[in-house]
Amino acid sequence: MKRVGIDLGTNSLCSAIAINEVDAPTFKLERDCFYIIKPKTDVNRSSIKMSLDKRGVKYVINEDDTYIVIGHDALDIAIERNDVVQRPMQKGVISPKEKTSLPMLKLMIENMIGKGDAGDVCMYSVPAKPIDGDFDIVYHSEIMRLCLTQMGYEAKPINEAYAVALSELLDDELTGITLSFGAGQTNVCVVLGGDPLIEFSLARGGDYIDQSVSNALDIPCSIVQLDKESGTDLYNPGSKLMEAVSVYYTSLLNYVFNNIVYELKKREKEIPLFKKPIPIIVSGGLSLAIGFVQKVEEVLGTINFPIKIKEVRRAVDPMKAVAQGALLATTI
Amino acid sequence: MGLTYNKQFKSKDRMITPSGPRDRQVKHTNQIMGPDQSLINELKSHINSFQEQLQSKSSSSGYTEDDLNAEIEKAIKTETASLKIKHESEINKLVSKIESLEKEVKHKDEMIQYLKELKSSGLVSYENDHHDRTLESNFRPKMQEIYIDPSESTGKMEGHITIADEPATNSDNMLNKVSKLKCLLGKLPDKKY
Repeated sequence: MKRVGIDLGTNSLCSAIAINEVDAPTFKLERDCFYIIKPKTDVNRSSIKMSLDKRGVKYVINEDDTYIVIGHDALDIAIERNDVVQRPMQKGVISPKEKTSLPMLKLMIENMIGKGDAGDVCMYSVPAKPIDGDFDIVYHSEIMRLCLTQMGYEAKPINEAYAVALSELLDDELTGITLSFGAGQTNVCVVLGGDPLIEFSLARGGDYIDQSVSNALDIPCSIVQLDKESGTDLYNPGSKLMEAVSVYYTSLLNYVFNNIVYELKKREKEIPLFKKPIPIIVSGGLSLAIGFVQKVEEVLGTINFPIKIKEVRRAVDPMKAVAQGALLATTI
Repeated sequence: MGLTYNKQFKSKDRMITPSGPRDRQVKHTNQIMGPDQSLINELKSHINSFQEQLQSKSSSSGYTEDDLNAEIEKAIKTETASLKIKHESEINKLVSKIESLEKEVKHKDEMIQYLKELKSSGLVSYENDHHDRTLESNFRPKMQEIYIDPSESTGKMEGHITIADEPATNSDNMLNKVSKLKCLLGKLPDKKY
């Protein structure tokens, strides 16, 4: 019986696969984007194919003879051509308007996890309902279920931040606050003894930083994203771009934590009395920045957080925490 | 004619006591017979007269004590019988009502289960506007939620994709993690996403 946990993110896809419970899982990580190259002539078509093969990029030849480069290579090629990549998902969910994107997403997922057989289970991550936006989470969840079922799996959704809790809070009696800082959204979950008490998402994430820096410095968004991902030190920015990135990181963290406080106070009756201070777990691509945990602690110091916090901790592997949590969820 | 004097006469300074020969004779007789005997005789005569009075009274009203008890018992029986006849129809009605309620009670578990099922399917609503809350089953058909994959077929796509495995980092303690998770959480919370 194959068990699969998959993190369906706006910017990246991560899968964790295990055949048995005792097996160490196999992780696969791919950037969730694609770039379409339309050949103008037959000669151009063959030269494009040769070029792509030579570079060893991952691509698909579509029925209309266009080349679709997928993953990280798509971003590189788009930057080379002073263009932007396309994404199958926006703000953490599939857009019903992006009909051309869904086949690409299905293709990428199938290449990551393979086809399933009878009894194979796949837990896929879904965002929580946003408190500052209006996205069709149900549509996203149902379409992904349909896709994974077509691939041969028994597909079940799991909240993204709750999956982080299953992965990272096992030594804390599954009690704490987990945050998944993705590209499209930031997902929050307050967990008590394995019970997700509060789940919500905010429609701000890494894309907000990229777009804001791009607007502020008049630099293409893709370049901001690549520079940011190549290594960000929030307390020692080495360039003007990184300074701007650091500023918007702080802005995003302030927004996220002030909204968490607002939501916690609003749902005061739903929050139990925690016997002891609880940990905050941060995960997702944004949390990879150097000084991220320190920055979170700094922001927490400026606000009156309604729950006593023991520590702010980064997930052991921030990019794989959701997939690992989803995989763990298939075992119970 | 001898001198007469009032034997009972009493003066303030002295009392004239009977002390003549007849008085002495009477006194002597009294001493032999005892003064109590006369009192006893008198009391006996009183008792006798009271007994006669009592007997005459009882016989005049026509009831002895036993008769009275028997009459009371009879009256109670008669009254009970008349009341029983009077309320028998009402009792019969109540008995039949109790029987029907007992039958309903027998099916209460089934009814509770049925109502739970209805409630979980969202078909039951309570009307609070009325004093008597009524259970209303709404079996109105609902629109089925259908999701259709909007994408075109990917059958004609020619893929040149190989996604490599990531190097394992923290996967060596997976068994440990699974054990901990099973200890902490029996099953996943039932939530609809």
